[in-house]
Amino acid sequence: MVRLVIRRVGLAIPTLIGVSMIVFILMTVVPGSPEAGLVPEDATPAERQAVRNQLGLDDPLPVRYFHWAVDALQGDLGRSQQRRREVTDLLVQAWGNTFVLALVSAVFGIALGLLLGYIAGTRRGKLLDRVISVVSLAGLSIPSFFLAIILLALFAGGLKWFPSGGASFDDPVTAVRSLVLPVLSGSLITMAITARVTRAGIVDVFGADFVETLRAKGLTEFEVRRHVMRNAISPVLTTSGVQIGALLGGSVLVETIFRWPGMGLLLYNAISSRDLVVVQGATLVIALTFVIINLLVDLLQAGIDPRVRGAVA
Amino acid sequence: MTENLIMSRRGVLRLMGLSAAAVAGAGGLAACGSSSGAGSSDAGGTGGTLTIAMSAANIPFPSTPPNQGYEGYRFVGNNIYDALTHLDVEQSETLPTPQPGLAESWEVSPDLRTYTFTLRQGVTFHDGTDFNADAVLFQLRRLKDPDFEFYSQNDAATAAATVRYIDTWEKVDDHTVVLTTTQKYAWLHWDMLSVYFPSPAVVQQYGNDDYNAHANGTGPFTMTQYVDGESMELTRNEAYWRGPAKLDKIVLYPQPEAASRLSMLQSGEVNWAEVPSPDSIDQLEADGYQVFLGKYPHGIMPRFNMFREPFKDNLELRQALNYALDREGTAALINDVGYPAKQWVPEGHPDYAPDNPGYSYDVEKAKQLLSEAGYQPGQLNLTFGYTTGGSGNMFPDVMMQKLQADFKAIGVDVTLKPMEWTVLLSISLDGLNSDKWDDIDVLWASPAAGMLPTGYNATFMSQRPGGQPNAAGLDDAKVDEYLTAASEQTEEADQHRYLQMMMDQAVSQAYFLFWMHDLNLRVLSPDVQGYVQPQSWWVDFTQISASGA
Repeated sequence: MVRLVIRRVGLAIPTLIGVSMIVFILMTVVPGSPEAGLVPEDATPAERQAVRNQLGLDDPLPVRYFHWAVDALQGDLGRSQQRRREVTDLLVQAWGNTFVLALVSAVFGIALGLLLGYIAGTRRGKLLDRVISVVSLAGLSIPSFFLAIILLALFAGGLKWFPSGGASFDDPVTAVRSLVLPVLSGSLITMAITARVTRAGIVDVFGADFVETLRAKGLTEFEVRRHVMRNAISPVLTTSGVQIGALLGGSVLVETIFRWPGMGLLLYNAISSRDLVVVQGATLVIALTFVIINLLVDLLQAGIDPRVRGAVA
Repeated sequence: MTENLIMSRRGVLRLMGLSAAAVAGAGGLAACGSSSGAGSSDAGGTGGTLTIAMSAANIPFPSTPPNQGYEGYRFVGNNIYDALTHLDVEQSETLPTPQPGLAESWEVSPDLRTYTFTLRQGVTFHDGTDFNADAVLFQLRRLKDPDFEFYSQNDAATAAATVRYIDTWEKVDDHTVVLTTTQKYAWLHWDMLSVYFPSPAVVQQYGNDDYNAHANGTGPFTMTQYVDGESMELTRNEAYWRGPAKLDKIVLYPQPEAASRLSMLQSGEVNWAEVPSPDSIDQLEADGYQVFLGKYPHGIMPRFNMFREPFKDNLELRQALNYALDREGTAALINDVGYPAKQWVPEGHPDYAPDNPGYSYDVEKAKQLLSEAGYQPGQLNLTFGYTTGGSGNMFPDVMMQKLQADFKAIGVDVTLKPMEWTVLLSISLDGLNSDKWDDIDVLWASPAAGMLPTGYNATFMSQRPGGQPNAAGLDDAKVDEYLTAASEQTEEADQHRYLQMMMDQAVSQAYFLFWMHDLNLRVLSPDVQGYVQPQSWWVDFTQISASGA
């Protein structure tokens, strides 16, 4: 287990460096100048140059990256001139909001997906299985932003049951109300993937020889299904890890539509305004989140499944 | 609320023709009189809370100036701060012009190089400190003097266009400041509209970097809550020098998605929504919402790349494309929230060239001119760069598809090149002759066309002070001459006369695609009272109340 952790952490460092370098290069080659939003449309060359100097935009690319990386290693992700705030402050605020949304979305999506997948898997070929298959396929097919707009029009604009957006944590009732629509929109794919993977795993494991052995040994059906679930859960954990990572990265579209001030919205605005330091910082945090989630999933898998534990030992 | 401000779109269009003559700036420039302001005198009143869904992607930060374009000025700047002058946006009948603000009067020397501002006495910042000549000089040094301890490079960059012509500043006494200009210049009082004054004490206490969290001005509202990315709460300033506003509070929310703004309005979360989808208007009207449309100087006037062929030295081609535009058809596609443009400024604007009819929709004439320009149908393929969104850009996607079809009808193909707003701004700085952008033949432009005379420079002038960028390569000595002459006239009537000549030249030479004027779509819930839709992007919030919020 310790070796697994060391190996994963060792892999994480070049991953983070690689991601930050690629993003740095991409942001410099995409059209649009970072100073464009900071000066008037008719700024003189001197006025424009003053801002470029302030942002260090005329330094060679490797020099700029080196300066950023050295500062980042010391915990200084820079200051956004577009937002007039420290990048770290922006990230802490946005990541906190996304974390809440992602956590609730993940719990809701995975729990519902597990339940639906279990029901479908244990009733293979029956009507309920087919209905759940259609629902999960729809979940994969309907774009989250489309669902978000439909939910908004129906439950916010029409029925006025829920607020149309914003992250409000003033009291539990308000918090729950503000979470309902973004969670429904954001967790749909997680629910659908989890349901399909769970169903496939259960169907697969139910066909294994050891299930017949368990039944022959006189175990109750409940105990048999417990063993089946334990064996079927491994791929679910893997996909859940990826889904949680994606949710923690923030959904640009869902967060924009619901005015949820998280990582997705922060990143979208930063890319749109060519706010390089925020894009760099946000990407780093998202990459780091993926690395940590994957590590946790691996550890969890190793804890649950002795075969995995043996493979990494 | 003025009853005639709520009307059908067709009604608005009809009224435009009748009201054209009424839109004329008036009054002498050399000595503007004092005004005590129009106080609402509703001290302690409960005008309710106005909640607004802006189209901006974020809450404009409350710097001096704010960001997020005109929404920053409209919702944040003009509510927290005052400037030496302010636009009379409390009325809808005429094009707003600078009126006394923190300066109760000003005088301009005959050579138009020295402006003497007499400051209003008894005005205090929200922190209780006095507004005076020292506060004026403090802010000017923040924007103009790199050696000043509190010089703000960020604010200086953003405010560059408004303080560009200021050469020196001097305090005569506590209530008099003298500004000199770098050249003969008649429009400094227009520039001063956007130079806001923060409390020097607050800037000194928190520094430039932390100022936004403590923004403090003399305006009708104080900033009582600011959560970057989420919301801003503005609370009535009971000690406002013009008399307290009626509203208790204004709460701002950013929402760039039109569908989401609509839901916010329909759910009752906001009672003011900027630019909802035009398709929603009929339903909103049926549901009792107040749909406002009104003529004002803003439109979509794409610019030809005049650095090279096919548009350089080819008047017939530029005219052909102007005749090819089915402007009525475009207006119908966007549910008549815009209307056909004849010139760069709307008819009735004081700079409108009275004897120039502009370009009608005439396909046969367009085809004939295309042929005279040296192109047969199918020979020309134009690359059109346009933004896909952004505040004040109307509805680019549907409009561009219509334009593409219009040009196709005369045998001109158009390759659409969508881009983000930041990219369009970058092109404005780089120019269409830059290696990065020289593939673009026509470039989207959404100017505040004639809202301020100072705005013409960025689009019309070829030779500009300080080497300002000439993005599309327009180079016409007559245009330069007229615009320069206008900025050097003492009397407003003379300024407009020269600007009309400039406009006439620009229309005759078809320097732009004179396409659509915007009607400033805005929807308010039934409980909002006292709103006046001015001919401007700015709004007076002091007379508004919201009984149901």
